[in-house]
Amino acid sequence: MSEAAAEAELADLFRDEAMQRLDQMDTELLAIESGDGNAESVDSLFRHAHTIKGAASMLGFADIRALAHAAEDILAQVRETGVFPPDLAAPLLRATSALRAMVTGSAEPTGDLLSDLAACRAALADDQADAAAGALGGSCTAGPGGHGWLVTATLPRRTDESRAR
Amino acid sequence: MGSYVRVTVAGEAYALPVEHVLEVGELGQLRAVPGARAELLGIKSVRGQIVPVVDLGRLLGVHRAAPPGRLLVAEALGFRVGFAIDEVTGIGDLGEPEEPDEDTESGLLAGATLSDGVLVGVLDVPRMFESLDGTRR
Repeated sequence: MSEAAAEAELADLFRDEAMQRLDQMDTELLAIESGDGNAESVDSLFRHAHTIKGAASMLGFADIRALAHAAEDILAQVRETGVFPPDLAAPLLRATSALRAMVTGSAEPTGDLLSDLAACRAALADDQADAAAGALGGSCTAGPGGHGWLVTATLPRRTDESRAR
Repeated sequence: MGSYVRVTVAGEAYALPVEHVLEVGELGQLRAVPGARAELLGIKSVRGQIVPVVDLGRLLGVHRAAPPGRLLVAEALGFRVGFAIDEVTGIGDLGEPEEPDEDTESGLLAGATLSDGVLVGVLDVPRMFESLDGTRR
């Protein structure tokens, strides 16, 4: 197989796998939204987001990676606290829908969504701190605009050998 | 005591609990990932899924003379990772592994055991997966 054909095969594979995972994420999110979620739903959501992020990162799809990473960060926090606030399903469903558009190539700018997700994550962290102090937490949509970051940026990991290509 | 898949990596003997091993095959062609950490050799499609392939020797800090030729696909924590190894030498029971010394080289061993006079390092697969995960803080 030529290198270009192998590359195309991997991209196709990524698309199929990501679409399946996004469908499963929607199913889990809708279950959580209607009160049927449990710790396994959150674990499964986290794994799907993490796997999509990893594969996108390895294939060089930076936008998909950034959005999946933002979703993963929120889910990691939820997993840690064991609490899935009801108003969190909607922004995550927006994320899966935006990811689906990116995967199928009908991408739209996601700056707002990334900052919304960042605000959700910050609100979750505040909730965690508040819960420790015995107070009630706020909503993630109420986070102040300047609360989080707009886009994620990850520098390439420094390796101990330079990679001549 | 469960069953283990025994492998060699850089000439040294290791074993993985069989429940973590999905399949073993040729390493074959990998697609390189520019800018990735050194132990990530590339990615490969394995049964319809994109799997990262990690140089197990490098992960364990053992140096190899020849490039690895075989791929072992492992699963833990709900994720799949391919590990490049020299070869699979067998599947079967092992003696109860002894707790590793405190200063073992990698921290990725669940223990070590003598099998047919050879010291076999028993790998802690979930811990290996965790050590690969550079994104979790």
